[in-house]
Amino acid sequence: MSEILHIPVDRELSERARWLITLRWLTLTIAAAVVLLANHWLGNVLLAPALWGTLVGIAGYNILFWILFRRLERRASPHSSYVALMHAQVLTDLLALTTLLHFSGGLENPFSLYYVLLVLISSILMTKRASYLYATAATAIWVTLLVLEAIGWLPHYNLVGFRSPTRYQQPGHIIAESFVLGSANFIVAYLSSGIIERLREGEKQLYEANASCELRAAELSRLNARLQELDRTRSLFMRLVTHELRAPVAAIQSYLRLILDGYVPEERLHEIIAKAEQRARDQLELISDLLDLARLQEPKDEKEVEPTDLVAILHDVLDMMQARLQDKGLHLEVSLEPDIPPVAASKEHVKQVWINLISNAIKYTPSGGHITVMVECEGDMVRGAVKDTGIGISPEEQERIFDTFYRTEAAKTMERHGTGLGLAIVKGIMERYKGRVWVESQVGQGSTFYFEFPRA
Amino acid sequence: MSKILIVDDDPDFVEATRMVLESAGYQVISAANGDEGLRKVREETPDLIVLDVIMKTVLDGLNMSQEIANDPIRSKIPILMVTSIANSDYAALFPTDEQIHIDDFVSKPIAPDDLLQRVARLLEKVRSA
Repeated sequence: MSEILHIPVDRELSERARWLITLRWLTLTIAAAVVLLANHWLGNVLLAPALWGTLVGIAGYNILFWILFRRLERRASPHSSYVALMHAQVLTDLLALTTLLHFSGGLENPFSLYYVLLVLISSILMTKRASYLYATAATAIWVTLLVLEAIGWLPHYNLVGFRSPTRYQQPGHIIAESFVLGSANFIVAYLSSGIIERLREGEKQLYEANASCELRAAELSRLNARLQELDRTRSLFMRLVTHELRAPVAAIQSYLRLILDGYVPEERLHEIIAKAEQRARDQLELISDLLDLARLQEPKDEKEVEPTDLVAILHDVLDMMQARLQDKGLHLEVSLEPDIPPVAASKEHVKQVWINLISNAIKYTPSGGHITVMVECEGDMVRGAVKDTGIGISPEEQERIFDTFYRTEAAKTMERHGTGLGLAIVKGIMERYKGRVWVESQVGQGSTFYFEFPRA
Repeated sequence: MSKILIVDDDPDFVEATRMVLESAGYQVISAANGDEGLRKVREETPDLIVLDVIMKTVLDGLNMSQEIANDPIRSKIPILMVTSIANSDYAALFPTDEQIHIDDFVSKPIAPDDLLQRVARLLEKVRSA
């Protein structure tokens, strides 16, 4: 019966149950007053002890329902328990009302109209189906009482001086009473449950609108947090860039100032100018790397993805690096799988990946070391690798080497110049083409950088 | 002659500052980061420290000045803070001198005459104190 209430709010349900109990105290007070007054005006015509007994019974079961209700509330019970409790209450009320009417004249008692009130209450509290059910039940129990009294299966208590003592046995009266009450019951059930249904529909829509608003608010605040996070990252990056860009210019300017103010002796002049020139070169390299990095942020142009021969570009790059390899006395080995298919990436970017990885290998491998370059096929990907016997990278540093401006301590010690952007650019390129790059390394043993481009 | 410690991770700055200070007859030692700087402060007890605010970690220089301030013996050593951010938009992001232990502030690039003047003034202050 959980579909009885459309609104999944326990609070709503428990308030209705509480309302029913309060209403019953009110009705009980009115009934007691009526019994008192009737006895006073009509003389001792009513079956007072039986009526008082019934009223006490009603008070008793109202207390019982109240206790049950409190228990449901304390245990945070499911909807169905509240609904069952409400059904129990309405049914008990039907029986109690009938008992009261029976002891106070049955058909002769105008309070039989109170059945309509019960149907009204059930249609307010429950579904349309339940309110028709109670309209039928109220009519049936009333008709049954009238018939049983008329045929003498139940005793009849006449309201002396109020109504004719034989009225309860006249079929015309019985049919008229039954019809009036029955029709009133069904009309009330139809009207009020229709109105209530529309109210509940409105409530439900409001509830759903509220729920979806809350959902959207949560989504918005999540997005907002993400934006703030991005903004912090961007601001930190800007600070780093500013520092990195200012440092070389400030160094060059300091050297120039020293020369102009005569702090540099003649014999060191050439050395100081050479240092300043080196910083200028560093600055140009940094600016060019920053531009590469910025371009990688721009959306990918479909035209830039083309079938590219990884191996042919590798040979070009190795030709370019030949002099540096020889200068440092490094041994180069090239290991290529035959028939490597082209990859889907721009030639420029593939070249940059090879240059950055191979020049790192040359930079961070001591003289006499070995550099091995490999290309192989790996499913839908083409894998390139650059292996060196250089200084290596510790596990903690391996997590950060692809970050912008990050250089390992050993790298900084071995080679002063470096922007700290080379691997960040490689990573940016690999992400652009849905490829990947990673490193395996041991400190003092060497590093192997792997990358995979998707096949064209 | 007074001994001066330069702490900066930029070798060109160490070089330039060293040339200026040595031309004025100071004895110059140097360190490339905060840890090395602290070690040299303890081993060599310099008369003055020229400290770069941004080193490998952004606040390395600030941390080092705090450490020195907390050291009862060395808290008297004057610190001349050098930075490239003093005039930038990002200066506001850093703690003010109310929160950090420094005695004077110069910005990069270094103007030699200005640097020498400030160094002399700080050393004079310590000597007369």
